[in-house]
Amino acid sequence: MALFLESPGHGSRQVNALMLFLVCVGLVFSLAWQGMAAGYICPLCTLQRMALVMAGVGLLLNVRLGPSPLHYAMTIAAALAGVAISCWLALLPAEASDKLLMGLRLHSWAFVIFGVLAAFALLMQTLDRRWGDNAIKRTTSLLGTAVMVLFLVAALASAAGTVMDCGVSTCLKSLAGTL
Amino acid sequence: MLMVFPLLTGILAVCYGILGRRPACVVFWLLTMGLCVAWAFGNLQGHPVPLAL
Repeated sequence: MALFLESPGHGSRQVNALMLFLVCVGLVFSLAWQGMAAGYICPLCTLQRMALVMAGVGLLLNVRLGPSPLHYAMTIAAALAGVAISCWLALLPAEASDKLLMGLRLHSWAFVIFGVLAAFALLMQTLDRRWGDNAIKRTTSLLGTAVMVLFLVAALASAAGTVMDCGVSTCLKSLAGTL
Repeated sequence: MLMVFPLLTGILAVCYGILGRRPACVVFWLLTMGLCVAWAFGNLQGHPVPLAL
């Protein structure tokens, strides 16, 4: 708590940068996980990744411009969309070919991650009230800039992975098999 | 609807976010959300949904 009272905005930007880094890790990991299952195209997983990118945009704005209720609202909205998608996928009957990570399917992990993101943004929106809400650009530390660039690379990789899977199409060629 | 549109608008939202241009970033963020919802509603109809939602 003192982190936010003594230096309004600064500590919060660091915490948001850390969360943004974790989002990058999640994006790259999900892409690699899907890549390992060669030939497995999952349109709803693409939507899940899009929700993760959208949640990351709110965190990125917090790092770049300082914390704001609008940025947290963006993260919460995207995280709730991710919760809905991953809940849908997690409720589908498990197949024998499904790979498990520490006893849970990837969709169940996605559900947990989106829930944590939503809870984080809600908590921060409650604690982080001493920073003015404006869109003035601020200097970003080298670490913050590195995390933002890493996020852009992860989002580009995610988009490239989807385009490699689906090409320029509606990406529905294996939807019936997925659902 | 093509999946590539929300991907492009999402990347643009990230780019504008890094540049610190909040209005453009928020507009593209909203556009991405809208396009994703449109894609889901347009293409997932008729497929079985758990719990008969």
